[in-house]
Formats: sequence, structure tokens, C-alpha cells
Amino acid sequence: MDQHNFETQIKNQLDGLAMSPSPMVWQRIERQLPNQKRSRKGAWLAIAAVLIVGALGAGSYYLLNNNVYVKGITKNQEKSTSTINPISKPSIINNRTTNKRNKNIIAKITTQSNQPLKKAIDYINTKLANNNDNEIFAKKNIMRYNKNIHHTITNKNKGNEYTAANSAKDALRKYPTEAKNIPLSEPRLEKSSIVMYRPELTLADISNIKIMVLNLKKVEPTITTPPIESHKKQTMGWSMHMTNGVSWQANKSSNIASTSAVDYGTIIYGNMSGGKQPTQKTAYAYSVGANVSFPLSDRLSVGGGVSYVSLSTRVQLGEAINAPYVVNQGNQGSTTIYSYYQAEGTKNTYTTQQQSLQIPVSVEWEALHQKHFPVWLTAGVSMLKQISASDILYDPTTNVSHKTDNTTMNDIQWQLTFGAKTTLWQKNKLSVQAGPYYEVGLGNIYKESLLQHGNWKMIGLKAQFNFGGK
Amino acid sequence: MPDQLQLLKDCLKGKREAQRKLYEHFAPLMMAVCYRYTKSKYEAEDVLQEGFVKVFNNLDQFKGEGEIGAWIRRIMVNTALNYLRTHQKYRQDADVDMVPERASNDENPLASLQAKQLADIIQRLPTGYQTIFNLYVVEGYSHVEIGEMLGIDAGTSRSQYLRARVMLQKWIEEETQLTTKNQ
Repeated sequence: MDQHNFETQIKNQLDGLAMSPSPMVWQRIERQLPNQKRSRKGAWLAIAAVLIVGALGAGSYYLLNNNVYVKGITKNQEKSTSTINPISKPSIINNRTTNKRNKNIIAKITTQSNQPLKKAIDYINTKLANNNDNEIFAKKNIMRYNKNIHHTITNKNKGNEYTAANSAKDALRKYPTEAKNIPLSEPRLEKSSIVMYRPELTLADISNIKIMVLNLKKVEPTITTPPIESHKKQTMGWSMHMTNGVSWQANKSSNIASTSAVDYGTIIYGNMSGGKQPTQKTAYAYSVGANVSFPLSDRLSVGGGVSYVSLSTRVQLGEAINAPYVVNQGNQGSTTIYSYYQAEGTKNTYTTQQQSLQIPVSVEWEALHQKHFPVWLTAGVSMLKQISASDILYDPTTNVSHKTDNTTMNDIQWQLTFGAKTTLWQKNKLSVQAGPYYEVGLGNIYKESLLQHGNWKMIGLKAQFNFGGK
Repeated sequence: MPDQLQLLKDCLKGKREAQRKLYEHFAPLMMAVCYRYTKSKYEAEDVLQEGFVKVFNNLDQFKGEGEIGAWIRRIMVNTALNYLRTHQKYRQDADVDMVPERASNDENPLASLQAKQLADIIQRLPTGYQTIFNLYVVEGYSHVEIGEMLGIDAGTSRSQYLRARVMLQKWIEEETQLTTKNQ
């Protein structure tokens, strides 16, 4: 048997050998493996979804339960509620008309709960503290309607007539002297609305009323009901922003490569060289973009927009080598390059870049409500659509780094964004806000076929210029 | 292996079921590899266990270049060498001078042996000879590479291989004759 034939036959026979290990082996392996991981990507997406759904839910709840509409009623529209516009200011009710009922209407306030209506009336009371003629009228009526509100809540199932009548009787009972000469108006309950009437009073009549301590003056026939402040908050805001800071690429395989070097010790073995991943350092990053926001309440808003983002990281590399090198890119095929770097060392520094379009959705909450320097906290999720990239890929099997383009990266990437900001300057609807900003990539920026994990992180200072809105 | 990429991705995510499937697929072949480098089934199982733990912990270093089976096999061989080194097996056995007479029979006795019988015969070699024989014949390393891996001279590797080869040829012939008689 010649030497070559002997070795070939042995190799062929041994290559086909298979032996079953005992079942205990897998059990022992299983005990040594880390506990089964939950999908981090899934967990982050779930958190983001809960945040967004929660914010939308809270906003919807607020809007549904705090619908305060004020509308002036023009003549012949007393009973109409279908034309209520929540944003419009109440119209002025002009001079007396031939229709007695209509001329007495100040405004119609519609609400779905007691609390906002009280707030609205409180607001009107505050605004009418100037003691001009119109305000006195309004204030007096509001006081009466406050009583009526009470009846509305407690006796809403007993019918409109009862409520109105009771209201009048109560007033007479409580203020017999003051009210006996007053032809009381009849506030009426219309479903969930309170219709406020201007009572048919003369100056002499109302001067005796002491329901409120007022210095009554001559009454003018025209009354304007001030708008409810909360309407202003249901407006959309526009902003432009610019973020400057640093970014870096966090690559999971770097730790494992180091561990591997320890595991395999001095054994130098083909593909398992166990080298150390190149050091990655921070580099300049920025983004510019525009946002639109929708206030959900005084202190909560949701927004979205589009930005241009440039992320970079500096990679420290060893010596540059000009020689053919075959790069296997998994499902992307393989290609030959003619220049690469030793992964370890500090002789060369390469700055990788990724330019992307970012579509963020975020929730903003005013954590510290104050006149000067209010503090807003923001959190959201954003989608990155890659435009271009230049990258350095580390190959742990050969301990070599080489340049690559964006073909090895995922075209769509996801990020979580966090920030805080305060208002530095404000005039009318213009304002400037600034604060720290942090974003972290979700999942893997590389295509999964490469089986290499990495994600972008960015920290910086964000400046925002607001137009309109709050 | 069907949908190997998906299985690897699941393994990377730490999914236990995928890890079990990967293990079950490769364990029989890898067990045979470990068996060739050790002296008993129990030692082979120890190496197999340690090797697969390394496979799962370092799976993200596999970039899809070449077959996953070849990558796992390299880890098994490295793990076996580490095991032997830890237990000082080379040093105890590498100096053993057990050179039998060279067999002169030119017939091909290998053809009548089962792979398991052959592996058992190789296992009877002193550990140093056994390791060098496996690395040279089965894994295809040169004596220079084997010398670097085991921390010995290339010449030592070459001479020990030749001794191992002579011993094996003799034992294989004996085993063949025994098998023939029993039949």
C-alpha cells in the first residue's frame, strides 16, 4: 500500500464516520448557555408602540372629555347646535331684536362633563373682572347659571322645565328681597348645553341685586362673550431643528472577538485567529429637519417630520496593505479588493459615514411647567432611510479590516430618540428651544446575511425654532 | 441542512430550539472528530460539550464564508487540542518511543475495516502520535503548521507521524487478519 493511498483511504473512511453522543451532552451544553434571550428589537418596538399608543389614548381621552365649545348664537339659531365650531370665536350679539328670546342669549356653552364647563365659566368670570357694563351683565348671568349648572348635574333626568323652574325658585327663595322685582330669565337645559340668557332687566332692577357684590353701571345691549382659552391650544405647530454632536458605532462583535482571543490562547489556527476588533471612536454628527406637532393637552403633544442625518465614527486601523483580498459578503456575493488594513494598530484612522433621511415620530411632555425655562421631555421612534454610506468592515476570521460601501448595510434602520429641551426665547408664536439629544439604533445596521451586529448611537445638542402653535 | 441561514440567525438570537437543532445536526460528525483526538467516548463527549458551548458563544464570528460545518469542525479540533494541552497529554506521550517493525504487506487491509474500527485503532496510538496523525492526515495540515500549533519542531512532527503511520499499518493488518478469522 503506497503512502499516499494509505493516507487518502484513512481520510476518506474517517470523514464519513458519525457517532451518537449520549443525550446528557446536550443537557450539559444547555446548562452552560446563557438563558434564552428575548428579542431586544421586539422589546424596544413594543415599548415605543406602548408610548405612542398611550400618548394617543391619553390625548383622545382628554379631547373627548374636555370638549368646551363656545359659540355665540345669532338670531333664529337658538336651538341649533349642529353648526358649533370649536375654534370659532363667539359672535357678538347686536342690539335688541324683535325676538325677545334671541336677544337675551349671550352664548351657548356645550360640554360633556361638569368640570370643563365650570372651568369655562371661571375663566369668563376672571376675564370679566374689569367691571365694564357688558361684563357685569355676563357675570351676573354666570352666577345664576352656576346655580343652574348644579341643577343640570343633579336633576338632569327630571326634565328641562323642572330644572329651569327650580333655578328660578331657588333664586327667589335665597334672595327674596333682591329678586322679587326682577323678571327672572329662564335658563334652559338643552341636552348637554346651557343656554345663557340675558335677563330682561332695567338699570333700576338690577341695581338691587346683591347676588354678587358689584358696582353696577349702565347696561349696554351688546355683549361679547370672551373665547375659552383652551381653544388656542388645539392648534398645530411648525418647527425647524438642527442637532450637532458626536456619533459612534457600537459593534457587538468586538467584545466577543476579545473573548475569543483569550479562549484560544496561543493556538494559531486558520480562520480562528481570534483577533481584536479595531477601536471605534466618536466623530462629528449632525441633523437638520422640520417637524409638525399637534398638542394633545396643555402639556402633551405628538409630532413628526423629516430630517437629514449624517452619522460618523472613527476607526483606528493598523498598517495598510496593498494586495488582492477576497471579500465574502454572504448573500451579497464576493468581490476582490486590492487594499485593506491590519485590524490592530493605530497607524491609520478611517472615518466612516452614513447619510440618511430620518422620519421621526415623538411624544413631548412638559415635565416642568413654569414661565421661564419650562422643561420638555421627548421620546420617540424614527426610521432611517439610507442615502449613502462608507464603512469599514472587520473580518474576524482573517483579522483584517477593509473598506466597503452601503451595500453591506440595511437600507432601512430604526432608532429610539430621547431628548430634553427648554425655551430660551419666546415672542408671540415664535420661540427657540434647545437641549440635549440622544438616539440609539435598534437591531442591526448590517444586513443579516453577514451575521455581524452593530448599531449607531448619537449624542448632541438640539436647537429648535418654532413657528406657530403654542 | 434546510434553511441554514434562518437557523443560524435564530441561534444568534439565543433561541434554544434552534441551538438544539444545530447541535443535533452536527453532533454525530463532531463526536467522531472529538473521538479521534481523545482516548474514550467520555473524553470525546467532554470535548464535544466544550466545543459546542464555544460554537454558540462565538457564532456571530461566523460570517458565512465557507460551510458552517467546517467552521464548527475547526472549533472542535481546537477545543480538543486545548483539552489535550490542559491535560498535558502531548508531553507525556510525545517522548514515548514505540516504533514497531514496519509492516511489509502490500495488500490493502483498510478496505475491510469499518470507519469505527479504524477510529478505535487510531485511538490506541500514544496521544502525541494520535494528534499529529489526525492533524496531518485528516485535517490536512503541514508539519510546519502542526509544529506551530503544538509547540514542537516540524521535524519532530514529521518523525512522530512516520512512527504513528508504521504502528497503524501494523495494527490495521493485525485487525484485518483477526476480522477475517472471525468471519
